Amino acid sequence: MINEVANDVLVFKTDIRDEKDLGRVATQLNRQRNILRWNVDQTDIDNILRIESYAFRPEDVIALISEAGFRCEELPD
Amino acid sequence: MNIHLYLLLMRTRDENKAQAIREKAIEMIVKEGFDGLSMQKLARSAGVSPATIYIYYKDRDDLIIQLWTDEMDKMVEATLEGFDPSMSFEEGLKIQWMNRARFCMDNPVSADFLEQLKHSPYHVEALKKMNPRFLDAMRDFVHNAIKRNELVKLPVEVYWSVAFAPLYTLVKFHMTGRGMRGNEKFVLDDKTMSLTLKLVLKALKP
Repeated sequence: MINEVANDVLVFKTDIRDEKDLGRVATQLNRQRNILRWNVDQTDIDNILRIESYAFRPEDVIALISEAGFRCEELPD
Repeated sequence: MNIHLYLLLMRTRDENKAQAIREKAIEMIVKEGFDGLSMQKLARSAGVSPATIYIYYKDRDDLIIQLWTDEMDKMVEATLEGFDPSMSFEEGLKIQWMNRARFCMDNPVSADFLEQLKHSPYHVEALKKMNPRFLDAMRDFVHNAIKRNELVKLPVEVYWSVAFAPLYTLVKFHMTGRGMRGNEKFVLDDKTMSLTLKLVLKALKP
């Protein structure tokens, strides 16, 4: 349980733009048990991907999103 | 699990940063409209990184709705001060007028923001998060007054337009400092408020 709450929110700049893009990313992200929830701010020019997770590294997210064919860059806090 | 995560986020929240984000966001919306609010611009003017904003808010829409709930709570707090829904219609409306006017004058940016959102597509979503204490108090007040035959039964938009719009128009004159003629100073004092309130009460009498 401690581990499950130990991580927080990961934030990335992406080029996930429309519903079709979202669908492709969803296939990747929804499979991950360590991701509690995620969303893309489509009103923002940087198409921010926001992920609430535990025991999940930013590099893991970048790998997943790149695999789906999108740009993904972590925004530091 | 989610609740635990949120508790953790709340605890690590930096209240100064959160406050700066809220203030700058409202300022930006009031000055430049909803379209003028971008997370990058907001981050820059609040002196935080865009990532920080996304730690507190899911997305831009979430930020806007949460700003509304926060400001609305302040407005409700101010409006209900010394007010009781069982008051006579005359007394209750008078207290509300004074409270609402004071809130607008003390918090002009907040009042502008609330008004702006009311006339935007965000309003539908925002209303779902309306402070229930406020809704209950306003509804009970009106129902009591109708039951006691102190108030005519009207569609809610008509009631609101007659009961409150005159006050807000006067407040606007006061805030700009100018009346109808433009070159003359206008101040909303107690006398002017009483005069207007009297006419409103007359109009709403059965």
